[in-house]
Amino acid sequence: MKLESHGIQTNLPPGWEGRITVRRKPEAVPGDDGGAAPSARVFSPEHHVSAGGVTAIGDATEQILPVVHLGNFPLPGDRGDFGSGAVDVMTDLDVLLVLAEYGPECAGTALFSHQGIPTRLTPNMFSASALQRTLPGQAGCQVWFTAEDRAFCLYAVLGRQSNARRVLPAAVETLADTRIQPR
Amino acid sequence: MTALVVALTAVVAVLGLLVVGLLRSHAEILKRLHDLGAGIDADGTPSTPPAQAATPADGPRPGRDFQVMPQVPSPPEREGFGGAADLAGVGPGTGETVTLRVTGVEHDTIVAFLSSGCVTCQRFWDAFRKPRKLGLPGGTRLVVVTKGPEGESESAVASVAPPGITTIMSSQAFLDYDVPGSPYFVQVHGPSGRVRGEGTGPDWDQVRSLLSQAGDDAELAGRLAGSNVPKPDADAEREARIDRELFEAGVAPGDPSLYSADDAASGADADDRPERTNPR
Amino acid sequence: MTLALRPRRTTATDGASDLSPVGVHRDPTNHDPIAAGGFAQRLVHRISAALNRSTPNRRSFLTRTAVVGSALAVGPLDFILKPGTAYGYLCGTCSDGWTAFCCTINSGRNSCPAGSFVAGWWKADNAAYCCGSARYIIDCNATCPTQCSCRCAGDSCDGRRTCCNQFRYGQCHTEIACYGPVVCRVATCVVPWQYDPTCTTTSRTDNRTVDHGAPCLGQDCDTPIQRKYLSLGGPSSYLGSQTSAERAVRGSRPGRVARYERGSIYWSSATGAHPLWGRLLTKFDAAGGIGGTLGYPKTDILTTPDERAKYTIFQYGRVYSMQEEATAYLLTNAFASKHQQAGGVRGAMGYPISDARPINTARGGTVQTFERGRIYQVGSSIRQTHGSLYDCHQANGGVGGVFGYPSSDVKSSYAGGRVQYFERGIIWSFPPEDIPGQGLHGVTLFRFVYNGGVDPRPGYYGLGYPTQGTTPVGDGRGTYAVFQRGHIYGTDALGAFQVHGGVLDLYLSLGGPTGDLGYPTSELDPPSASGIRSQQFEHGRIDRLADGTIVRA
Repeated sequence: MKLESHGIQTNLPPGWEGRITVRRKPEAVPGDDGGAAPSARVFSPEHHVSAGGVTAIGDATEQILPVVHLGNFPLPGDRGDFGSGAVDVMTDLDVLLVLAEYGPECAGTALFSHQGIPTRLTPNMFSASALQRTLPGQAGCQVWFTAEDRAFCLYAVLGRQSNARRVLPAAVETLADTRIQPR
Repeated sequence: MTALVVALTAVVAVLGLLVVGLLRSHAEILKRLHDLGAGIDADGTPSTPPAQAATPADGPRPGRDFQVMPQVPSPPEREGFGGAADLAGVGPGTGETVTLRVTGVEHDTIVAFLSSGCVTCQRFWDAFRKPRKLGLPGGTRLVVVTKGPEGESESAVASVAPPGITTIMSSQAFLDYDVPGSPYFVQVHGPSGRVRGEGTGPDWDQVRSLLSQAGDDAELAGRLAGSNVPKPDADAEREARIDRELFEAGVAPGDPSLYSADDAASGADADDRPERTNPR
Repeated sequence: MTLALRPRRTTATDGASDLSPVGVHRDPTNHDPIAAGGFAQRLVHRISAALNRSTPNRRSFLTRTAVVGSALAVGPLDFILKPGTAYGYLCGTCSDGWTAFCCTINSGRNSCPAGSFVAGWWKADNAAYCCGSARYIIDCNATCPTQCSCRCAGDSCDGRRTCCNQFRYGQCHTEIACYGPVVCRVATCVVPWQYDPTCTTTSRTDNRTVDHGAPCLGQDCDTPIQRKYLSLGGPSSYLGSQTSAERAVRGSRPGRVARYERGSIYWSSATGAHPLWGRLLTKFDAAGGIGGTLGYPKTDILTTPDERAKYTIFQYGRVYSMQEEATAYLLTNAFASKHQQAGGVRGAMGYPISDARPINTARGGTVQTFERGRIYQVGSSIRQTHGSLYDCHQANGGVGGVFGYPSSDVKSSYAGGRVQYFERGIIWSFPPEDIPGQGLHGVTLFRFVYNGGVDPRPGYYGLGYPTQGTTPVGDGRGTYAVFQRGHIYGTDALGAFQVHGGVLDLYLSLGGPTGDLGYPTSELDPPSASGIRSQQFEHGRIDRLADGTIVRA
C-alpha cells in the first residue's frame, strides 16, 4: 500500500498503515498597523473552527513540517508528533516508526550529519531509556539524518524490546521502501 | 496439649475458609476473564475469545453467509468484489495523508460511510461524538469515511468529525466498497478481509443492533459449518460419479440444462436482478 | 532543593558501542540510564515491566504477590480501602514515564540546570497555563558524558523522574550531536527560539502534555502578573526565569508579587501589574517596597525622551534611574508634582541629582536638588525654585541666607519676566534668561514694591526689573539696588527711596550715598507751581528745573 505526500513516499507492508501529517500553521494576528505582527501569537481558550477548519494555536513564525507515522497497528487519530497516544496502545508485536522533518537550517549540522535514510535497525540500537516517555517493556531508538538536504529524525518504538528480532525486519523493509525527494 | 490442638484446629479451619473463599473468588475472576476472552485454559494456554473461535478460518462470505440488515435493500452480489479494501485518503481539515489497514489485521473494522450534508448522517455524527457510548464490540475499530475533497467540503467534514474517531475523506473508498449512498456501514472481518455485514439504519442504535445480529449470524454459520456431519461414503461416491458423467457429457457446472424453468425465470443471472435502490 | 548531578561511572554500560556513525547520538557512555540508575530505579522499572506483561506466568504471579504483600505491609488499611494498584500505592506517579520539570530539581528555577543544555522543544495547545496560547516544553538534556543517573525527582516516588529518558526533540543546539538523558523540562509560554536563540522554529506538538505541571510552576494563567510577564517576553525578557511562585501581599496595601531572576512584577487592583528591575528595583526596595514610600508601581519602566534616564511612576512617587551616573533618585508625589509643574525633566529644573534630604537649619524641612533647581518642603508648604532665581537664592545663602525659605513657586511676571517670593525678599529675572536673577530685601524691597515693582503703579516712574539686587553700600549704614531705569538707596533708619533719571546722574556724580548728599530722604517730589521738582537727601537737595536742567540746590 502506497503512502505519499510532501515529497515522502513509502510502500507499506501488509498489516501496516501510515499517516503523513502537516499540522495546521498558526495564523498571524493583525498588528496595530493592520499588518501581521512579526511574531504574532494566536491566543485562544479553545480551538476555533473556522472556514478552513481548525485554527492552530501557536506562533505564526513556526515552521510546520511533515511528520510520518507508520505502524503495524491501528494508529489512533490523536497522536503527538513523536507518537504519544499511539505508543500507549501498542502491544508486544507492534512497531511504530516516526519520521519527523526539521527545518532546512538543520540539514547537515552535527546532529543531522548522517546521510541517507537509515535502513539498518538492529536490536542493539534500541533502549528502554530512549523513549519520549518510558513505558514498561517498550524500547526506542532515534536516528538523526539528512536526506536530499532535508533533515529528519527517525524515531522507532518497539512494543516489547525482547521481540526486536521478530518485528524489526518489517520495519526495515518499510524504511527500505521509503523515498525522500528534494524540496 | 488439648488446648493447643483445639487452637490449631481452629486456625486451620479459619485458614481453610479463607482458602475456599479465595478459590471461589479466583474462580469468579477466571470465569469473567473467560467471558471476556482472556481466560486461561486448563493447560495454561490463553483461551480464544468465543467470537473468534466460532469464526471460520476463511471468514464469512459477503452477503451470503448471514442476513444483512433488514429493512433496507440488501446489497447485490458484486462481480469481482472479493472482500474489503484498505482505505486511503486525507484527514479532514488537517491535510493529513492517511492509509488505514482494514484487511490482514487482527481487529475488525466498522467503516461508516457518511456525508457532512445528509440529514440522517447527522444522527451518526452526533452519536460518534461519544465513542464510549457506542457499545462497539471489543477489538473493533470504527472508521468514518466521507467522500474526498472533490465531493465534500473539507471544512464541513472537519466541523462534524468526531474527536477520537478516525475520519478520512476518500472517494475511492466509496467506489471500492460500492457504497450506494450515505449513511452506509460495512463491517470487515480483519484477519480475512471479508465483509461480515453491511447496510444502513436510521440511527446508531439500530445499526449497532443489526451489526451485532450479523455477527451472531456469522458465529452461528460458523458453528453450523463446524458441526456438519460428514456425508456417508456412498453418497459422496454417488455425487462424484454423477459429476464425472455430466462433465464427460459436456455439462459443466452452471449449465442452463441443470436448472428448471422456474429457476431460470427467477433471474439467477446477476445482470437481470433489479437495481439496488438508494436507501436514502 | 538543589539538583544533585551525581557523579557516576562513565564507562560504557551493557557494552553499548558508539552508534553515532549511523545517526544514533545517545551518549555512548550512558546508553541505558535506567540500567545505570540506582538499585531502586532498576527494581521499579523491572517490576513495572513485569506487571505489564500480558502473559501470566509463575514469576509474574510471584512478583504481583510480592507487590501486593508489600503494599499490605506498608499500609494495610489504606491499601485495602483506597482504590488503586499495589504498585501505584507503593510508588505513586514516579513511573508515569515523563521527566520532571526543572523547577522541582533546580532550586525552584524554571530553567536548565548546570550540566544540561537546551536540546529541543514541543508545544501543547490550549494550555491552561498560558492563557489559551500555546505552551512550550523545553527539554534540558544532559551534556556528554552524562553526569547524572536515573532517579525519581526529589528522591521520592511522588515526583517524575530525572535523567531517565534519553530522548531528544532536536530543534536546539543542533551543533551538539551527543546528548544524554533529559534532566528536566522547562515549561514556558514564550516561543523557544526567543527563550534560546539556538532553537529553530520547527514546531512539534504533543497536546497530551498540555496538563503537565508541577507545584513549583506558575499555574495562574489568568493572573495579571503572569500576563504581564508573558507580554514582556517571559523568561527571554530582562526579568529572566521566575524564581519564586507568585504570592499575595497582605496588609494595608494588598496585592501580589512574583520574583524573577532579575526583577519582580507587582500588582494591585488599583495599579495593575508592572515590572521593576535594576536600580529602580533597588531604590524601590530601599524605600521600603510596597509598604514604603512609593507603594505599587503604576507604570512599566519608562524612558525619558532624551533617554538619559529610566523611570517608573509609583502610587506615591516616582524613581528616576540615571543612565550616565548609574544612580537612581526618588521623588515623592508632592515633589514630583512640583517637578512636573516646572516641566519635569525636560523643564526648567531638569533631572534630580539627589534624593530629598533634611535641611540643616533651625526650621528644618527637606530639600531635593535638581540640575537647575530645588524643591523645598517645610511643614505642608512645598515650593520649587529654579533657573536664575534659584541661582540668586543660592548665591545669597539659600534658605539659611537673607531670603529664607521660598513662600511661593516661581511665577510669571511682567513682560516675560519671572518672580519668586521668599520669606524675606523677592527675586526677579527677566528675559533673556541668562541674565542672573536679582533679589531685593529689606528697605530697598519695600520701596520697590511700594512704587509698583516691575509693573509700576500709575503715576509712579517704573524702574523696571532689578539688574543688581539689594547690595550693601559698604558704609555700614545702607543698601542699594540697581534697576533698569534707576536706583534705590536706603537705610533702616531713613527708609529707602528711588533715584532715577537726571537726578540719579547728578547724585552719582556727587558720590552717591557716600558723597556729599548722603542717602535720599524722599522721593522726587511732584512738580510745584513753578514746575520745579525736588528730591531731598541727608545733606542737600537736587532740583529738576522746569526746562529739565538738574541742579544741586
